[in-house]
Amino acid sequence: MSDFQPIIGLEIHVQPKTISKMFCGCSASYFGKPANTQVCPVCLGLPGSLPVPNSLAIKQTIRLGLALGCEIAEHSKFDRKHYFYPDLPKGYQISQYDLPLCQKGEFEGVQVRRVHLEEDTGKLLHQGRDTLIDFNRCGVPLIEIVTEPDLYEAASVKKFLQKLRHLIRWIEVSEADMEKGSMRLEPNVSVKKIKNPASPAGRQRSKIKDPNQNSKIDQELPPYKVEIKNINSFRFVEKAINFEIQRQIEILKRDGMPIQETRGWVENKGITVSQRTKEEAHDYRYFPEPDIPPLEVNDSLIKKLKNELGELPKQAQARLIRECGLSSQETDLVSREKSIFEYFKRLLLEGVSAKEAARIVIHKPNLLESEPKVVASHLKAEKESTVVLGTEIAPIVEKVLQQNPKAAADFQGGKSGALQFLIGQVMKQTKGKTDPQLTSQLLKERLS
Amino acid sequence: MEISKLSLRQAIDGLVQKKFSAQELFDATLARIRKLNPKINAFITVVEKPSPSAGSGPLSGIPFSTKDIFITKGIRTTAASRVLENYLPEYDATVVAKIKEAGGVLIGKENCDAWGHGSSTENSDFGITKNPYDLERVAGGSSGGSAAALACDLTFLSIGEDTGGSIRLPASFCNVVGLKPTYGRISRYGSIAMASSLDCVGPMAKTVEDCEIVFNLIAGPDPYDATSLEKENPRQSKAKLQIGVPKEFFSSALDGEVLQSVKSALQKLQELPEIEGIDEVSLPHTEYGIATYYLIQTSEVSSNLARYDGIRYGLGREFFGDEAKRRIILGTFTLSAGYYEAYYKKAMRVRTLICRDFEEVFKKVDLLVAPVSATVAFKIGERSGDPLQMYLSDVLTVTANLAGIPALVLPCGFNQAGLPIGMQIMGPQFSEKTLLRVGKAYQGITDWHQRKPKLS
Amino acid sequence: MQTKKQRFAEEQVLHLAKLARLTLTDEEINRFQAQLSSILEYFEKLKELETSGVKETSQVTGLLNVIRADQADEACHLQRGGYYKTKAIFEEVSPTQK
Repeated sequence: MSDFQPIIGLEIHVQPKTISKMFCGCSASYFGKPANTQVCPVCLGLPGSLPVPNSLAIKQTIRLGLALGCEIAEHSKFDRKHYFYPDLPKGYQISQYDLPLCQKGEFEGVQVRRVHLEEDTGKLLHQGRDTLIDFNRCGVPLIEIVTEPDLYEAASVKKFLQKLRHLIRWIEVSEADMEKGSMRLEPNVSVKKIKNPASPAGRQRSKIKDPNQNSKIDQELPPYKVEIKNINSFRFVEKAINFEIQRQIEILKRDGMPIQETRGWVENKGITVSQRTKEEAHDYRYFPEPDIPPLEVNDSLIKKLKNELGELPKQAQARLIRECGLSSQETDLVSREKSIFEYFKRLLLEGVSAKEAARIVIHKPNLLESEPKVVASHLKAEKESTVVLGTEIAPIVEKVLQQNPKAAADFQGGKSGALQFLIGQVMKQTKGKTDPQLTSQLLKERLS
Repeated sequence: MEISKLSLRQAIDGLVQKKFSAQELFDATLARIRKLNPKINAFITVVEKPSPSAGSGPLSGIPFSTKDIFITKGIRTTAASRVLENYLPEYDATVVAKIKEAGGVLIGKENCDAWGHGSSTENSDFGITKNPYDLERVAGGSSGGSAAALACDLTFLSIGEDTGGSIRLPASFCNVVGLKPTYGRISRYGSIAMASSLDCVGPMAKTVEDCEIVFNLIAGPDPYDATSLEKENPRQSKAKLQIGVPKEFFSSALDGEVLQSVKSALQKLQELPEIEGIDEVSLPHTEYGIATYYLIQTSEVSSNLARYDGIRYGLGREFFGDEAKRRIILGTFTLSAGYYEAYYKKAMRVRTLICRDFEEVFKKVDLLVAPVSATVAFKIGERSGDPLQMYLSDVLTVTANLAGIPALVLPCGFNQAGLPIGMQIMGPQFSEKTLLRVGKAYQGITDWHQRKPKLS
Repeated sequence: MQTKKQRFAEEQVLHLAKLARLTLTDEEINRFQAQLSSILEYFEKLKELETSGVKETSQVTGLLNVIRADQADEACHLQRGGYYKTKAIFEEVSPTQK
């Protein structure tokens, strides 16, 4: 039982699937493109350029907020967030400050503080004494999700992220691929000393907080938090967080206090390193973006988007268990992608049983490319002509011969008609699901 | 008559009637620039070889110029700052594209206060623009080069930009016409941003009629500018208009001769059939205009100049001049944590009060007539030592920017020393047509606008 | 003799210059300190007005929801190719996630 309690909040960026960038008509698919080939005056921050927001990106942000149970703002706007960095051409990022599109949601027991929309920066490449900049990615829309510090261990973070990713892909907001950069994670990690580790509250903390439980957890947060950047794949999420937790515990054990800072995960060394030479709080000097009129989201749009979302994974999974009698493992597999779940439903509509449909979508993914109607009718035909295996026919043949000694003797005596009779008997026993030729062969062998 | 001395209207007619060719017109204008520009320094860049006319429209073959804050493809655009001294843009501002499409031929980029920061064109890194009526005096700012060029017939039309009076003040100092339209009426795409919520692109010309021709061509919403819009003005076809005279614009600080000229102008206006009468009105928050304006403007300036880091274009930030540095620091302060509420947010609220002043007044009257400046053109160096003194030059112009309303400036007299005096006619949002109508009528019964500086 | 209270202290001017990535000479710091102080003093005028309950005006157009459809725009495209270069950045890291 630990004296120390990790406290983790998450900042997740997701790139919504759009054709164009957030504020201009440049292509938003930058992955693998030659440097600075998808740029224009707006995303390069050239003098005189002006931003015009992408309506689909706004819609996707609201959809994601709705899926996370958020309240959608009636009045929202963009704000300028100022800081200097070579990958930020305007010297400010257009983001959202005090009136984000979505707030106060909840997902998998974790409270979602806000979901807002902003633009991405360019990419830096370090080459000796120079830093090279590629602005292809600059201006691509990013949806930022911020959670409350409701997670208490690295394993929970990974689970949460997996479910979040699954949801995001389910509602088709984004590919949410960490390796390709369409989903990025920045955990904020702190550790506090538990006052009474042996108490039920102390033991409680190692589980994901269940909002239904009446816990007496000490909500006071440590006076610092460490932001971790550069976790570029799911594989390293747990490792990076655990390293950081351990690093902070070591400091606390020595009666020290970890510094509030940003640290980078170094993959090949398995450690986090400080990314600031001296801590300087950023003064972002937020103010409302004067080049973009404010947004007003009306109720009817919210209703429409909510309806269009359809069934979310949680409800879909509950139904699979409840109505289809699938096991939780089968349920997870059937609902691993929305398209697969949809296919499953179509199979059911074609009269296929839930178990059979599950079997198909789990074990025969190549069939998913065929029309469900076709697959369904094949299944039916298969059932009707299922050949009883040779090994299964043998005992039936024995049985039939025992029950019909006269016919057996007749056949041995050269009466071919008797063979037909015996084949018929075997067919009767197997309800016609025997291959007549195989049966004939077996009988002949047996009686020779 | 020297063809470059024609008005835009006359030049268009002359070309159509084939009295002269487009080449002749360009050559004449260029020759005049070569002769007179060294004396007044109106241009930063002169385009010696005209690009072939992109389109053929109402401005076919007409040489035009813009304040050097407008992005012009392939032609150096400096904002009158060393930071961009060799900047060659790769696209055209929407306004420039529209004029080119109409057949206009770019002849030059005009001097201004660097980044638009100033009321005299003394803050340019490319030298001061001198007032053609008195070379020891300023041409006004920040669109000083545009006004001076028009006064000397070095261009037929210029596109200026007015954030706190930058079209109107130089127009009134140089005896030309300038229109600051309703905010959003003309696209800002391709105009180097100064203060985004205040910047207004506008035409400057020799006569109100000329101004109207250009305005009609360039006004209209632009998909590349999210703040651009067009709206109907319900009072557009009103036959009889009531003029309001805001008493706060006629304080004791007003120079006696300026007061006299504007009063005479009012009398003349009353003679016009479209004018019903004149009322005294009040805009009680006028005295807070400068503080409100400079607070909001410098905040937005500090943000808009953040992109100039020398990496993608231009030189580094060490090349900013004094005034730019001052405004950036001030704006950084007003937006910074702990001060935002007290300064920027407060100013945004006072802005609302100023907007309401105008809304109230326009319930009673259709137009406002007032002086543009408390004085005529001041001497070079007179106010440049004290930034605050220079800011106060804008006291009669800034509130129109805060409220986003249009204002037309046109000549209405001269003082004893022969220096021009201008007046401004303001109206509710989207009332440009009315302003232009009245302005044209006024120019029909006066001839101030036909006077030219001795220099030319 | 009491020195006139400056609204801007030297450290403040320096701090702001740093935030705004401007390098100032000593002479500039001195000069700006005085000039900016007097300007800021002038801004205090706004305190004379009671504005509680007054909404802020950040835009005068009254426009709302100005958005564009999600589609490509070839017209504004700039074909650059190659990298932009700047001196190597070692110290600070971008506040934005990479």
